Amino acid sequence: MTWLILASVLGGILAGSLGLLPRAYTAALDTMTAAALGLTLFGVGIDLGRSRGAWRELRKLGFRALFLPFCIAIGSLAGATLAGCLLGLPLNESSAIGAGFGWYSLSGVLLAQTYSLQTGALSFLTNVIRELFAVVTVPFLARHLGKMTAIAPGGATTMDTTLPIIARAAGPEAALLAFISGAVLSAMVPILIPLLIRL
Amino acid sequence: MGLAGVIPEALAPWARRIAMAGLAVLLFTMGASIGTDGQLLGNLPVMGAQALLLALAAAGGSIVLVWLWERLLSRRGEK
Repeated sequence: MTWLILASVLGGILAGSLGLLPRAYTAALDTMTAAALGLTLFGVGIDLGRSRGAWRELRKLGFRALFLPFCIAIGSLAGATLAGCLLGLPLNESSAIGAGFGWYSLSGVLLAQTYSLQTGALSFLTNVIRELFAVVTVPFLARHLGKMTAIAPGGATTMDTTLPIIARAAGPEAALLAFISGAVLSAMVPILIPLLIRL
Repeated sequence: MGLAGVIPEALAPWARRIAMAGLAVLLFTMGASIGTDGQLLGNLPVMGAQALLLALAAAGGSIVLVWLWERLLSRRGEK
């Protein structure tokens, strides 16, 4: 998964900068990417809807399980907009990048397609770094600050890529919360980004 | 559709595969657009630094908020 993503982006950058792509391909890009984006979001939607285990647990745990992704979302957006102010980025860009919640592939292509290539690339990089940061800090956070705090930096990735790390560092109960929180945040990414970028 | 259970079980892996294939195409095109845009390509180091700050702030913000909430919960538990 990670390798496919990295290979796709790097392959694209190489092919583009070396001038390997034929004119016809570049001309057909817009139609192709629009179709691919539609297909991707459709697939993502099916995948999320199918995670029934997560939605069932969510109903059982109720308020507490929803408040965790809520805190993570608000914290991410606040942090990203604050950093955006320091960097002189417009509010809509920094908040939309923050709303990637670590899901770099989707947030990157969404912003590149619907807004600007520059913002898409920045979102991709930001959320890659966020996931790496989560991988590195989860064990430390779980030991020193708390088990739920350890779920925070992973954002949307705590339902897949960073879940094993959380399970090992914070235990199975935190892993269940992490999975639910990651599912909720993942569902929010394709909704929040288009909303925030239009601010 | 996934939630409603309209998708047959056998087709479900395909949803994931379709999403993955679409994503790979999109990521490749994003890379290609970055590669053909000389100005953006030269800007990558600056963007890397911006991305680092944004990522640390976003992760940091969520850590602080959840940590405060977790402390509140454990205090309440102690009383």
